[in-house]
Amino acid sequence: MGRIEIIFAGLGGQGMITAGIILARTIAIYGKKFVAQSQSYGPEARGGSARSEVIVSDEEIIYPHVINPDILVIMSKEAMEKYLNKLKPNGILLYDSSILEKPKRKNINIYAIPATKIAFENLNTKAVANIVMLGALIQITNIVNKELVEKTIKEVFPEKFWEVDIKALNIGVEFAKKFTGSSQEVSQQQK
Amino acid sequence: MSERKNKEVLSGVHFWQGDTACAEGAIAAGCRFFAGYPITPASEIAEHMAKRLPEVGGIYVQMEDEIASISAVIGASWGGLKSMTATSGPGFSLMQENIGYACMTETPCVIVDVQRAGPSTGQATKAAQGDIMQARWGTHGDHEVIVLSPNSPQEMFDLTVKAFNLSEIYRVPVIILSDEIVGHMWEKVRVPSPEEIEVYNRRKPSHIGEPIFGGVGEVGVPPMPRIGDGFNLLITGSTHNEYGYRKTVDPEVHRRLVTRIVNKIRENADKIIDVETQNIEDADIGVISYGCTSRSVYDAVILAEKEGITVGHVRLRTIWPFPEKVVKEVAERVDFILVPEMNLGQLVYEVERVVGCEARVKAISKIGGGEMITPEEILSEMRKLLGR
Repeated sequence: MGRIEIIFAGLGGQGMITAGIILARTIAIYGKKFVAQSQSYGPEARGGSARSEVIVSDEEIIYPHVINPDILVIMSKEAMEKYLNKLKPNGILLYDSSILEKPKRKNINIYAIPATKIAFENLNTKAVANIVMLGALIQITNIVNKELVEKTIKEVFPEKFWEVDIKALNIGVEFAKKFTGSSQEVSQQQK
Repeated sequence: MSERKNKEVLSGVHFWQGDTACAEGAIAAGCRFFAGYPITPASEIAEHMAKRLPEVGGIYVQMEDEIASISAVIGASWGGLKSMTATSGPGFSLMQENIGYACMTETPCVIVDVQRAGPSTGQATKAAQGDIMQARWGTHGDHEVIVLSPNSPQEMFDLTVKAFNLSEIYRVPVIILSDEIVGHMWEKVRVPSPEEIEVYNRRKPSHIGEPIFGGVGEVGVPPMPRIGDGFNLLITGSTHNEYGYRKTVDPEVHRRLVTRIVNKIRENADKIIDVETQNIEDADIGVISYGCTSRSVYDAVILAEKEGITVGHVRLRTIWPFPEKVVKEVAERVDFILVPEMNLGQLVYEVERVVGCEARVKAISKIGGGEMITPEEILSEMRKLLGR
């Protein structure tokens, strides 16, 4: 599969870096591929921009930063403005459609995921919108198996958060099935 | 006890960020004391040590500031524990005076500087490589320290183990000069089994009364007792004779002491220095790199090869003492040497000094926003110099 470059970008506090680490760790430990995750944020604890970069490759990763992203997960207006045009042609864009306008760009695959809204409606918290996005991402891209992400969630988060995070992940997966059909195998064939 | 033993070296494959790997490397090397003050992007080292040290019978202290932190680290080392602190630029500046004290009193200790963009508060969350010269010359007076430069979470582990070993062998502060990119990057880290990890401990005196600040020739490292071992210990930053007595006006004692603490590093440089090289036998152009920037160079070497350019690359895992011999070797074979660094030119001057007229030395500088120098930027500089 060569080298796949993913950017998660939004505001500090939205969990973009956490989402990146969960995905990266799952692929690194269970996916038997090379992964480098790096992050960029400002000095503020909340607000300000926050970005997580995940690079997945069959070969050892030398240069550890994103050059041309294949996949974008966007959760803020500023991030959309900054990265939309950097996405490769035919690249994949997931954006939080409950807080952002539909972006204007052709020659890419755009997926509207109202993550903040469905997290709040179903789980009564916006804090897991990042995990909803992650669920949608793995369903759409088939980059890693959902059960493995659930395993990582249990390894990384304290037990009191397992239930809500695993629910959020599944809500994201279920929502994204409207784009891919009912299973990951189907999305594989569609590619 | 055996349960504690299992927790000392977490053998296996992990997905860690560089800062975590550094803390684990320290524990695997036998570090049992950490004193620090939180600062981005080094706080995760302190955080991890706070969690882990109590599990292995060690001590973690959050101090009131960085001056106190390095002081406590030096004290703990004389108390017999392998000790470490971790900080970034502003804290590293505050520690400088007592790093000199550690040099003068020949106190083994490890100082981690996860570099961020300075001067002053600068860009607190963004990477830079601006402390190269401060690590070498930050404290006053003639001295030598050892400075290591990891380029991955794996090397944050490996080189932290190495830092403790060098520190114990040479009784000298060792600085791990990391940066925000390497410190915060998450990658796979393989922790070897305890048997695979070589751990050195300081040499102890054979009898009470043995000189512990000299009496070992001109480049030797004297043995070091622990406070409480029964020695009448005199430990001072003032010039002292081999028994620790202050000799603040005697020119000969000063010359002998300071020359030895410098030469014990300089004369052993070949044993200390650790570099990785590519194609230096047959290169069209040379590159000297270190830290996170070296990763861009490894990629640039591959890109250049596709264009028929053979790059002689020297990657410095040891920055100080400066690996003069291998840099000279490259310079004799090429016309141009590039030195990419995330500062406005620091190590490039050392390369120029060593290379002299053998080759033209050129810096590739980039600062701000923690942006790495890209492989493409290095390649384009090569094309320019080689006229392709």
